[in-house]
Amino acid sequence: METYNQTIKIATDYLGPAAERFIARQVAAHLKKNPKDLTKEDLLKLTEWLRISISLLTEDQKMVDECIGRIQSLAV
Amino acid sequence: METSAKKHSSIFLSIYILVSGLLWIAYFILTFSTPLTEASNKFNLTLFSRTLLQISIILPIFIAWFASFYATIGLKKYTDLIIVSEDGKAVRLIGVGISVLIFGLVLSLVAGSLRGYILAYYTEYLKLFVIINNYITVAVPLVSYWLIFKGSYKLALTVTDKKFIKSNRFFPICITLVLSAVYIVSLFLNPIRQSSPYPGTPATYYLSDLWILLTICIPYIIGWFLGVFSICNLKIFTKKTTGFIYKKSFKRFNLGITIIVGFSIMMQILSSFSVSFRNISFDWILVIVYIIIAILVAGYLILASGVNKLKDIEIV
Repeated sequence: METYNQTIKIATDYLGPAAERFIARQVAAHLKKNPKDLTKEDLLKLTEWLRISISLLTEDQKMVDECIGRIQSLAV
Repeated sequence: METSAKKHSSIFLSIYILVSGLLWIAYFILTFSTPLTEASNKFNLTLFSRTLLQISIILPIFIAWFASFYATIGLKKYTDLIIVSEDGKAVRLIGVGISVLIFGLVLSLVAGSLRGYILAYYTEYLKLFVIINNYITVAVPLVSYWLIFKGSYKLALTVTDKKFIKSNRFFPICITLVLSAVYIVSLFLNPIRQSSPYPGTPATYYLSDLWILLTICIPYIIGWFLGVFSICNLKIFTKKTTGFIYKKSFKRFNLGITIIVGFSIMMQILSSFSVSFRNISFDWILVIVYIIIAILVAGYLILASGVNKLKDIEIV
């Protein structure tokens, strides 16, 4: 739950009120698990999918890299 | 609960599209079958030139109508995706408000066409028609502004508190008061507000001054306040909401709503000057009509584009 909340907190800087829905959807669809059960071990795989998904929403690659980097840092 | 809400909004949209479609067909039939009488033909047009003119107006109106439906359907699909969240409930109210505003526009088009018929065949009902039409013109946008205001206020409350929202209302109140003063003065300077000496031109209201003030002026002004406050609330939300990507998409949504609501208010104010337009040349009237339609189309397309971008965030 802690990892999930931290991930949402970072995603909110980019996706605003849509962040929680966005992350929950990515976790459920790509990791096939309950979003609240997200662990640090899942983050690497999740960020691979997030990079693809967020790139579809913006052309600003620098912003995408920044967002992915911040979420990946949660795994450490 | 989510499924039930989606089902209800789908039923609402289906009925809305059906009724609007029927009204559009009625508008089309009425426009092309309205008899060309001396009273309704102030510009001495032949039947052929009038038909060409009607086509040149109906086509852009149809484009505007199509653009508004495109935006409404996009809004409905977007709100279906986020219906259980706080922002979803708020955007849903705004969407319903915009739908009511579009419905009012279609109704006023039909009423405009119906007027030609009444002028030609049923002059005894003209007074009743004018009064009912005026009340519809007041009531429909008022309901719409109220819904948009409720939605925008709810949305603003997700990013700030009531105190901040109220502290940002001084400038909008001043603007609306000035607009209201201009409107009231022009309305009571209208010499044909109670009866008309011109053949083929009915009086604007057929009501006493007190009744005009209480049942036309005041509801209009309340509506404008709600509309201007809605624009203000959406501006606050756009400014305070988080998320670079979301914010960029919402800015477009906000611009679309601002154009549509702002333009609708301006149209209501301009309608109080309609008597002054009697002396404007026919070419200029056409130019004004085309500009109005172009602004409407732009507003709805910008709104649709913003909604599509917001929708993308919810489906990727």
